[in-house]
Amino acid sequence: MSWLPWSWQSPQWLWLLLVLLIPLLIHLLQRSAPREITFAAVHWLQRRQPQSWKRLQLRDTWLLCLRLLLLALLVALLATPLLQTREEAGPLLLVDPAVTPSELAAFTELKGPFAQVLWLQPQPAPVADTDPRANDSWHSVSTLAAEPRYRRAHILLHPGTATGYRALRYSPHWQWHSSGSTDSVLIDAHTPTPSIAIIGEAPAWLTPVIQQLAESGSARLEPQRLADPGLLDPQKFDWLLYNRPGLLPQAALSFARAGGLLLSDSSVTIPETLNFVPLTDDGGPSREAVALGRGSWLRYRGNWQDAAFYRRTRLPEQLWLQWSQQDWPLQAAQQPRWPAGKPRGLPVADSEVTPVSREPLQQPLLLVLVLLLVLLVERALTLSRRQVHG
Amino acid sequence: MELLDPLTLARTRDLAWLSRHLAAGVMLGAQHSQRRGAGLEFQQYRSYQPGDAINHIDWKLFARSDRYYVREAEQGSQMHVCFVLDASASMAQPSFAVPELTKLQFGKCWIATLCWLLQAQGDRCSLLVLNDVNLRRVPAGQGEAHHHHIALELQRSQAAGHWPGAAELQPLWSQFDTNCQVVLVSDFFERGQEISDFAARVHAAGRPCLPLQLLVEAEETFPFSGELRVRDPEAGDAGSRLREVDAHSQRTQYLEAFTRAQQSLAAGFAGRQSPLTSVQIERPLADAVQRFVQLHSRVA
Repeated sequence: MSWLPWSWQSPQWLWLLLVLLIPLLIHLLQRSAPREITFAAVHWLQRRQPQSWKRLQLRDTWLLCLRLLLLALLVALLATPLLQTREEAGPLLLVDPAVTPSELAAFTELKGPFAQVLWLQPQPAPVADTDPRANDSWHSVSTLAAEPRYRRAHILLHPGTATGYRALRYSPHWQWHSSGSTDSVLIDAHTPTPSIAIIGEAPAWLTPVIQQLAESGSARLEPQRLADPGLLDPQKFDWLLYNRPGLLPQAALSFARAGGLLLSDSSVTIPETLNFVPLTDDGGPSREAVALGRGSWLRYRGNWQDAAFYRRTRLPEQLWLQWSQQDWPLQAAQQPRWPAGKPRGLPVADSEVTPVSREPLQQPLLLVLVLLLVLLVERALTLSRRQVHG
Repeated sequence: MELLDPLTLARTRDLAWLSRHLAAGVMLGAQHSQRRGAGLEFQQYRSYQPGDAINHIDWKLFARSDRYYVREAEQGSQMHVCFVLDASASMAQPSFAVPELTKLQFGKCWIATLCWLLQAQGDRCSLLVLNDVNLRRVPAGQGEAHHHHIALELQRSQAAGHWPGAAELQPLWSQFDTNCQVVLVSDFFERGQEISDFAARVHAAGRPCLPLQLLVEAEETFPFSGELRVRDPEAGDAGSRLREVDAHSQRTQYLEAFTRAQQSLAAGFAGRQSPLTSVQIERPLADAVQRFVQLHSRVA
């Protein structure tokens, strides 16, 4: 209901508007039963065919309107309207402190004048008067997302400055700009490609999967075969595809503990009992995962050489998604990068923002007076009608 | 004047008592001169004949002349008033303001009241209650007992059917006295011209026919709105009994037609020198009696 010049303090009362059906129903039912009278002077009344369309007409339309108005006013009184005051006009620009003055001047010249140019920091201050405080623009953006004043601002970012490890909160109304290049990509969206080590036979489906991933542009993987688990270096490899049935070697386990992602099927075992958590969130092959130190182990149910595992039309995408989701360091590395206009993170919806510029109706007494007046008129009309009917 | 409200009128069962009560109200002020003049007007003395009542002897004259003389007063007008009450089904029309009160009940009280006044004056009254289902008749008589008789007969009568046809009225004509006045109490809602014809025929035979029309307020104002289902009390078959009417659109047309019918009815009676008295049953009954009496000063 943003088109209204006011909003409601307690909109849950608006459900009560359903009571408007009651007078409507009463009027409809009353109409369906015409009053029956004995009238000896019927001789002087015209005989006419009862018109069926006339039955659908509501009687006492004015009375009905008054009653509806009365109930609507009552509900409005309960829901407490909040008047909206006009917000100051003109676009607002939030500038990343890392942007140089010359870049800022070039930008404002290009994108037209702004009513206010403020530093992007938790308490924005005018660029012209104050020096920026050293701060994290990621944090600033997240803080300002819920501020009603800055919900529709333009944001000028310097590439590479926005970093953070928590989910970014942002306003969906913001317009993003990047200083420097005219590239629409704020920060290089190129994600680091994980390097993969393979121990044991590479599964038959691996080569076509890697080919398809490269063709679709998702990732360009270059798996490397290792004969000896002792050569595993967590600094060198991100993922380990272990395909040797039997006991898991200690080296592979310590690779995962050091931050790597261990991928295997259920033929690989371990003497200790680990608390595997089944993951069934998508349509891909069913799997389970367990955290090991800084890394984790993603183990597929059953044998991944089976046709049941690889006979899937979307297998490459599903595997890529499952693996990259499980690789937390990779996720963290990806997090602060987003293409312009499509930030990754949590948008702060309008409903979560408390509008500062809206204040309760100054005189609810006025509404009560109007209510009483309408009630008076309605009563007078009804009583006069009843008198006429006898 | 003490006025009885319509509800009391509708609920009182004892017509004889009620009519006396009402008559006392009507006659306040007029009572003295009327009663003293009527029947006590001195006319002549005549010598006493055995059988004359002793209290009629003029004792002062006896003292002077040593003979018995009897004061002979002028006999009252010795008028015969025949009340004809229409008891067709339309007379059961209740008032819309006081649903207990019907036209018939009002008419009964009105007749009983006037009848009491007349018998107190020494006039003779008779009663005819007419409809095509049941016909009640009280022959002419005088006195309190006769008034009581009329009141009882009135109480028993009920509204049903229509105004009687010519064949049913035929035996009645011979029973009308030559010198009686007919008071016709009806709503004058006719199917054809039957009630007017009856009045005209009574009038043609040299007996003045004094009409009283009973109306309900709603018949003159038509205060309804919205959809109505109107029941016609005198319609024969069930099909035409109920009529669907949109009150709002019919109001003007109805009021015009009704006024026109009233005017032609009044004109017909005015032409026979017996003007029509229309009363609303919601108004005080004593007023209605007085208006009627004043209009037809010959009666009272």
